[in-house]
Amino acid sequence: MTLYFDSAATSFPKPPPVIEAVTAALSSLMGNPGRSPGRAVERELFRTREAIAALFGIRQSARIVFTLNATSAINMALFGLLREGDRVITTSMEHNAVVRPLVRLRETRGISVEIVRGSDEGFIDPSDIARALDRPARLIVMNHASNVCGAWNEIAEVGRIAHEHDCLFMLDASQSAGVIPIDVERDRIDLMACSGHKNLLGPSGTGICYLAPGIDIDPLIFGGTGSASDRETMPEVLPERFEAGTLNFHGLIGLGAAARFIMETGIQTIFDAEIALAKEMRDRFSMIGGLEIAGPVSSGNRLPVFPIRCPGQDPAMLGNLLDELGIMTRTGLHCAPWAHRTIGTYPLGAVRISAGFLTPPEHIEMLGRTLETAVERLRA
Amino acid sequence: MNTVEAMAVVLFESVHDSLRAEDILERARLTYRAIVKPRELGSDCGVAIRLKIEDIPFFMDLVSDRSIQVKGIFHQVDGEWRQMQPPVGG
Repeated sequence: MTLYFDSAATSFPKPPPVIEAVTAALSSLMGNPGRSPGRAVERELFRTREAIAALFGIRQSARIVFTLNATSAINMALFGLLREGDRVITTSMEHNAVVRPLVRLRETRGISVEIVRGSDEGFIDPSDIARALDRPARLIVMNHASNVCGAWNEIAEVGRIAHEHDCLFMLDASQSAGVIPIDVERDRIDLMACSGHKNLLGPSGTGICYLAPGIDIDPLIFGGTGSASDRETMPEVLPERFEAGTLNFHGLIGLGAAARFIMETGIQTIFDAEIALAKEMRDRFSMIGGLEIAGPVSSGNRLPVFPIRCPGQDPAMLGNLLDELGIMTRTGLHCAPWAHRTIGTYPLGAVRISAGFLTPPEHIEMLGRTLETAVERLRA
Repeated sequence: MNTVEAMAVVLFESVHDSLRAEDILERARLTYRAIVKPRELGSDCGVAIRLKIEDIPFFMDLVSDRSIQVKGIFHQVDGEWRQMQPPVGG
């Protein structure tokens, strides 16, 4: 038996309605969005867009662009928005999905990037962002919750600071969407990227990029949209402007079912459950002698994501042993070397143990026992 | 006026707006059909919605406060397309 504790990479299991929706789409839904007679596929994608809009308080669902994942959404936003000489503020807790596009844009478009350093626990102090805005900036881009240690930030304050300084605010909600309540208007979010397959509980190959009204960026991908075909340029209207090529509509229909599942369950219910889960995991891990837990000390602002290590040992040893004992985790730098530097786990990284809303409760106890066995073996 | 002429064709500024209109029409239980836009009304292979002319005023009431951009409403008279309603919304 394998126990799954890599939810920060992708959620598992998926809710039954998601499996049913994808199965039904694959088995009986005919057509290609925008390119086939009848509009069954378009209508299903419209339902997904409306469900995602409802989840994030988005008034115009046309402002939601479907992407392959959060990385493609972030690339679309950053490459479409930033211009020669723009100043960007980001944080030391970012994933390479943000870091690499910014570095590339620094090389090719001469943008400047200022990095606000997070605390040892992985939190960003909004007052540090305010200080970085002592000079004008075009954009603040940061994640809501860390994929490395689960630390999550109060973003409404950042959104307020950004707008006070006439600066755009872009949120990477890859880890938080589906768990932490997000309201794009309350939180003053101008651009937002999410993956569909993490806490949004949808299939892989799905993501979204939200563009607030008035945010006008260039497309990154050009091609057929099934509309305005007499023109050689991309349509002006959203979402088609940014959706060239056939979408992963089977997956996106599953994402719609996932968003409706989250709405029906209640985002606050999911949030409370995950915070309680993080506390339970922390309490169990704290009882294991010889185990070091990085990231937030308290559980209130932590999702159930834990980078753990045995001091003085290569985390790969612990990761491999857990794998042998039937625990699926993720070892290494988790595509986020900046974040590991910030919380003190660079360059070796850590074993990341992450759970989610649908992790069976009994697996937590089994994880605790197995982890204790693994640490004892490594110390022997 | 024959049966075809009793029908109107509504064009939208975007596919998304036409889907929103369909959603509204379904909720209102109005009879409609999504059709390929007739070539005489544009060469961009877009989608249009066909519904009864008598339902157009009700339809316009439904979409007017939802910021759906209607590009135009057309009907056929003696085989020619004529605009019944100029662009609205936005």
